[in-house]
Amino acid sequence: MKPRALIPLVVFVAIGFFLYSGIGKDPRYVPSPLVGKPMPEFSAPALHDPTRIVSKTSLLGTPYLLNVFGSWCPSCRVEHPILAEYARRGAFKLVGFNWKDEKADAERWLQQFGDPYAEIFTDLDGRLGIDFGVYGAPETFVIGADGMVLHKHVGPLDAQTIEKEILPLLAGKP
Amino acid sequence: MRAETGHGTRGTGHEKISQPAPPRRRCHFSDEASTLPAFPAPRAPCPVPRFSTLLRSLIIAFALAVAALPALAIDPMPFADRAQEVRYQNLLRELRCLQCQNQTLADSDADIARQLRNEVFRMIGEGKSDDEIKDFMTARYGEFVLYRPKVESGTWLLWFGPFVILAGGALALVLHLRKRRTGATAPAATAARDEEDW
Repeated sequence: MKPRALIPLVVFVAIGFFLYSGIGKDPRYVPSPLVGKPMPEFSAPALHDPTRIVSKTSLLGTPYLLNVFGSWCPSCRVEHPILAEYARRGAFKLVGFNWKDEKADAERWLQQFGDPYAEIFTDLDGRLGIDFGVYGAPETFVIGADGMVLHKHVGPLDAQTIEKEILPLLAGKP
Repeated sequence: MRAETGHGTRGTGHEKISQPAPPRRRCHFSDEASTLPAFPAPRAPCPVPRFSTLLRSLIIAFALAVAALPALAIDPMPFADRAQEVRYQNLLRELRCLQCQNQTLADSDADIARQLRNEVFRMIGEGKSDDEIKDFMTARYGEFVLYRPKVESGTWLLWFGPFVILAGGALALVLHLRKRRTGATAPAATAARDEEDW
């Protein structure tokens, strides 16, 4: 058999490898350009007291999870008890980014499901969400003590993802 | 948009309150049938609509369709001039709606797409260039928002892959044709080689 006869096989294997490498990848996963960069400067009203302003600088000092949520978002309810449990155990500081939500709705939601957030700021019209590259809820950013974006997770968080992807990041940062 | 994405935009969860269904009518052009006793009387035949009624319906339907055409253009915006509007439309066609991924900002009805359209409009009004607007989007949402990705090492396969495959095919074709031509002058040799192959 001449080597030329092997060409179809080689092409087949090459295409097979190429296609196989795509299996299992989430086509909806979009890497955030913010990861590895300082988080955007912002100042936004606190949820419970809109006269108080929460800003990037007011949150510096400890690493935290910035959780984009809304009372209108069904998937946020799924991840909420898991986040709450980790926050209660002191695994991380949880900061809420109340996205496109009404104050009364958000407060009722927190009353019903519990409020694990150390701090919550609001973005009623979603303008601030654009600066964070938010395109849906829930989304969760891991922010370092120095205000760097360490990681972004799109969609509801589960315990496995928190253990594997989130906690190791926080462990490395004092 | 998929319902089970687990990652939603506001406004996707609302459903219209359904009205109670009107009593079903068998005849489109007359209520006569429903006023007749349904049973045990034999079912009344549907009266055949007159041609003029049909024609009138068609004319009204056509007029309504024409009247609705401007509604196809998304969000009418108060542009300063025609050039701005053209730039706006072109930019929207080059930017991806991340919520629905395979739609552009121009196509998508998602809340986030509407909001990003407003941002594009605002930046055009502020005199930003197309590149500045695209940089604004990529700085927040990444290269993926560009429907026409930049030419760089990560996208070479995407940009040049098809041409490489085309060139490979052309090369194979040329080689094959050349071989066939030489084969025609010496058929005996080709036949012998073919037997060797198998």
